[in-house]
Amino acid sequence: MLDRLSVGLIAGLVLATIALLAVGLVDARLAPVGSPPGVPRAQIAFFATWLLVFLVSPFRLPAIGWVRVWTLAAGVLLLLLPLEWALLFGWSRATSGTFGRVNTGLLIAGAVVVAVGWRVRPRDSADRLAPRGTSSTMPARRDLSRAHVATAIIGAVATALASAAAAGAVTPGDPIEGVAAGVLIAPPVWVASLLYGLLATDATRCLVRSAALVAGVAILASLLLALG
Amino acid sequence: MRTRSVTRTFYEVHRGLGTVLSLALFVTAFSGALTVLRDELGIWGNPHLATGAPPPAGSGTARITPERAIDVARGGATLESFRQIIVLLPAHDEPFRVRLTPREGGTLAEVFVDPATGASLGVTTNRAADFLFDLHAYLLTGSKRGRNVVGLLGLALVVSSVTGIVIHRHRIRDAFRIEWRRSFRRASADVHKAIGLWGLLFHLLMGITGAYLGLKDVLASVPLVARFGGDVTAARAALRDSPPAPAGESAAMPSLDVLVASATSAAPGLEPNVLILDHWGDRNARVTIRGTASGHLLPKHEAFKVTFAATSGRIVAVESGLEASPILRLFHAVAPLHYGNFAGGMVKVAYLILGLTAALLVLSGILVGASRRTGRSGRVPSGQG
Repeated sequence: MLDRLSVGLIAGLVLATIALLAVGLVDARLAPVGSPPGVPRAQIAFFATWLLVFLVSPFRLPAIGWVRVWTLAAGVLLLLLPLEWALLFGWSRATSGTFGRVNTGLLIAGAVVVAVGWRVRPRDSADRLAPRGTSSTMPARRDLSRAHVATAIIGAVATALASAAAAGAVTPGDPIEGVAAGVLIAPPVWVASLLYGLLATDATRCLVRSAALVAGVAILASLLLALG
Repeated sequence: MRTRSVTRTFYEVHRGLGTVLSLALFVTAFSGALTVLRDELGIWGNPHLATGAPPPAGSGTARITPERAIDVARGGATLESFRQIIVLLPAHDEPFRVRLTPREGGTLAEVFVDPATGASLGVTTNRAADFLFDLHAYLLTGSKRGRNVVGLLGLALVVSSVTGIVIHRHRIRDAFRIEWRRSFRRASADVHKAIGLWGLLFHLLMGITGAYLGLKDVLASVPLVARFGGDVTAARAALRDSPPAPAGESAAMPSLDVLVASATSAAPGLEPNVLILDHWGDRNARVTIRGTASGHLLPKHEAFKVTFAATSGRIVAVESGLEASPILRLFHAVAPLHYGNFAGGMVKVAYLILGLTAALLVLSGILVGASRRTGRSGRVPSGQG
């Protein structure tokens, strides 16, 4: 338990930093068009993400399993940061000057972190001695395949993006407030849907769950919009 | 026997520090690595503050004066309403940064002004880079206490690095071999030892300079308090560089560009980057021009200091980082060595990577400790004396 909490605390800081940068970009995009200053959305996202990752880490996987999940997740999210920048501030500026250098650095860092996460293979001495295709660890704490973890992470990203878009669409009034609502809802939805995907027994079921979540969010948003 | 006992003690110290401080060390190391890119992340996170490329030399396109930047930044407010105005001069594609401190208290404002057009670019809306710096340097406490704690963590990094090398001194020849295919615990231990050895000099440098930066106010105040017979208030007053009180009479102010030219003549090598205006517009106004000299290990804003009595334009004091004593030059080198901002972007990238190795060192240490707890009970590593 202590190991998984340690992993949660440390991975939580890394993911919280990515959330801080991601939500900070939205702050920078919103403020010039009149968003009320002083709402520390980026800091809220930072601490919320750190707390959520810490709280999720005791469940389902052994510590090393969570190391792989969070490493891959951090890599995927780092790869998405330049995409977010380009969507918010324009594709042409994303490659120029300081912006281009930082975005390129983020892409390289994301690729490296994904590669490292992909290579992390938990093999305890007991596992190595166990017959091929079996595991010495408890079934409830059994580690997951790379495909399962990757599916859960990408599915969680899709669910979070869909939820953010839906929150933005159904928020009445100023569309800017809708974007802000979407940004705030994305980190918790991402972590929750990641855990939901990891709870599936294999990659295929995880994919089905992720698709169902995205579809559910879309249907719910459509209903809310129709009612509104 | 004695060597074994000493090694055992070092091991206990190493493990104890890791158990108690590993998380705080990781937070400091990880945020510190990112803080190296604070300026770049600040611009990246606030694209509306970025200006275009600077006009080419000799193109005839001059930048606006600092006075114009101040006028734009203060909007309709009078000069008398500000106790202090700090102007950070633009470099490369950066804007003017004008910090306004109200006379009657209140919130300090920082306004960005385009040096080419004189247009106000607004304020920083994305403070993510500053937040990471506060996490690294103050642990988000915003006080000197937090900075002192970070200084102590720097000392802990030094002690941990040294004890780690001592307890594994007989395995140095294996320290560059990482057995990825064996158990995760073994791989973590190999990574921990390899990074500890490969990055030893950098980690010691970060630990020592970080400890100095975090504890320098404590270190400086001890002899000063002793000098004032234990009177802390008097010692603090002596440390504070207070400007003269305002006279309450308006006076004509000299051109800041002219003062900058005078400062560079008075302090050869000075590359001015900060103007500090106390009571600007008042008869007792004071101007301090600060800067650095490229190609030297000097702090960015504090290596040079030329102080003027603003009304007369007379130079009151000159401090040159290039003419400082060797001891002072050593202290001047601490901040640039810690933050890696003494050369170009490649040095910053190297600092970022090496800084992340410090975080990875702590992380691998945590994983080794965790594996040990879940596996065998803790024991001194084999082959240690």
